[in-house]
Amino acid sequence: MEMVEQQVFEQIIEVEHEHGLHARPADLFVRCSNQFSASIYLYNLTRNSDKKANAKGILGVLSLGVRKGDLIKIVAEGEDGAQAIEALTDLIRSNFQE
Amino acid sequence: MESLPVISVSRGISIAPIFQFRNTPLVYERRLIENPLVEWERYRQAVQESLNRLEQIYHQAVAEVGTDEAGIFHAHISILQDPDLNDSVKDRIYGEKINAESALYEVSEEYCRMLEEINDEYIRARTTDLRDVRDGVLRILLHVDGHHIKLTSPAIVVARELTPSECLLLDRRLVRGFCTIEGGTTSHTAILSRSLGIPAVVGIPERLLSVPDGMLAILDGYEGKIILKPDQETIQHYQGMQSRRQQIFETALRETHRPALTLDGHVVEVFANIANDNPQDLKEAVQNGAEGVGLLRTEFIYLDCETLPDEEVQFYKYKSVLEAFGNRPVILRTLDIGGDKQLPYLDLPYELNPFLGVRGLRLCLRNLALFKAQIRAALRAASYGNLYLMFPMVTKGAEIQAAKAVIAECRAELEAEGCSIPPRIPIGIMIEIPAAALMARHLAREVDFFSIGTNDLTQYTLAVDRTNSALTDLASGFDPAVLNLIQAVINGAHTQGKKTGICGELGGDPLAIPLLVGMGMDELSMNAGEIPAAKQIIRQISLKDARLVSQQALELETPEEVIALVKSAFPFIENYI
Repeated sequence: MEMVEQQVFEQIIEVEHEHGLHARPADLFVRCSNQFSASIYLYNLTRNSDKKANAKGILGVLSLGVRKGDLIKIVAEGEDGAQAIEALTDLIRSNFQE
Repeated sequence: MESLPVISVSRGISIAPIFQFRNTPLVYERRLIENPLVEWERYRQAVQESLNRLEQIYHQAVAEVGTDEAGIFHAHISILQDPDLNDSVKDRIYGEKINAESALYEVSEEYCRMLEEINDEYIRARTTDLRDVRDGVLRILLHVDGHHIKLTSPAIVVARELTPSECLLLDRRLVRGFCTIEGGTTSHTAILSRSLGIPAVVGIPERLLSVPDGMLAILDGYEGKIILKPDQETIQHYQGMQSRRQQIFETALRETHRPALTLDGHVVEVFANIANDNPQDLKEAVQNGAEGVGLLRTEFIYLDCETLPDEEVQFYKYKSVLEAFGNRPVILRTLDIGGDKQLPYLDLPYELNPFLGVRGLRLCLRNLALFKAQIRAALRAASYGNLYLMFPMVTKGAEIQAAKAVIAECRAELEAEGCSIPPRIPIGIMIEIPAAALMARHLAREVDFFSIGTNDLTQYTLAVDRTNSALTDLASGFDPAVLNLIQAVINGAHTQGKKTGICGELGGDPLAIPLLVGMGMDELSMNAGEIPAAKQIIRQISLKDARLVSQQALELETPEEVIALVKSAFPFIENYI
């Protein structure tokens, strides 16, 4: 069997938005993730660092219960993984463009 | 005859037969299937069908009740597109070889349990959305789609619970009311009912669900009552009430093109607040008797766009509003962003207290390119109507001078480009900040008019965040503290010979009208639908009485006392509430 080298990119970042990853921020996050072909996963390091959620689905993102001040880890695997990480961290750093 | 106490969430009276809205129960067995491929395809098609419907309902809701209230359907679409949800259903269909209905039900319940575990009210409430979405797909799979429920004659709809989509899919011309067990004043269905002008009550007793279809009932959305099998006398009483209100409304509408003169001949201008350039809405405002636009909320152009709208886009939008109103004044409020309104494409820094931060004119003066594009678009459109310009969130005279300098600069540029602009465009400011209200007589020297934004003035005066639902009972525009500031603004303007209008929610509130008129308000601006009643109220009071009552109101201590005073001084106003 041939092993294909998958590039994995990671970033840990604090969510500063008043509403955490709920409501509009959650929606924007999911929409942004869906612009990339890489698989993107999300962990809430503050609450339960073992639980992994698909960043491309609203239910997964909500299920992490990310609140203001929580540390999250974003993991992207795939060709455009680096760009995905960059776009998602920019989105969070810009405080969801507010 | 039997009278049941209920909780009113949307006002109005209806007399009509009961219609039990019973969705065919979702009955199915958990069964093993032969071919997972076929079952998965059946599921996929049902999801696609459901998505198509949700998108259709979303567009209908945007048109009928506005973007904010339609947001719920957008949330439903996001859930239905969740890849994990659909993958889990697929895994279950293939892994356990079970039917799509059972797979979806079990997976969605697992998600609900997961969300319910999170100690967060917002997230827990999303389980209702998830179950609504799930049931929609199940109905399609089972061919018992709720969409087949159709009213054939006018009826009061009774249901355990109505989803927003069910509420919206019933024929509006036939629905006379909604009665449900579940729901509250802020539920989606209650908000939709109010937007649609249909009476609605919640908290009905369980047994109302077993009342037979066709039983005559009266729904009293004022007092919060359902009367079953009303006797003749009660029917006549309510019919009388209905026809009086109907008559009052029709008279008001018939008279609405006449100016609003008090009994002693004092004229008050009545304008409309406008938040889009939809030709239908503009026409409706004119038909309702708007004598101008007291507030053109230009945010709508920016909020509807994915990227920053350029000068050209704005020019055409302003032109169409100005043309719809001909020579009537159109007060264009420049971009009021910040606070609770944000633009995703403007990369604005995070603020700890956005309501006290860079918003309104403060923001425009710090983003001159943005501000100039809007001013240029407005000036170019000016020759198509009667344009007034107004700046929001002003504290000091220096800000007005800076804004006027930008207007002068844009005018000079445009004239150099060969554009012809009317020589005099009146300039005004919103009064929303207590400091501006107290300094009104100084600010009045800088402008042609004021318009009081009572929603913000109330929140800043009482230090109550108006988006915080825990504090709603503290924030009343009838608070004498707010009324005294309004009086100060009017007096300040009048000493300089300038006019004052009002464009907050208070302006269209029937009970506030005598107070505002009495305090000397020159112009009231409100939602178009409120104009006919407002004009009729003005016609039934005298300036003399209104002055006396408003002077008394300014001496009172609580908003409740103010409202009681108005009700006792002008009892006829109850008919307009």
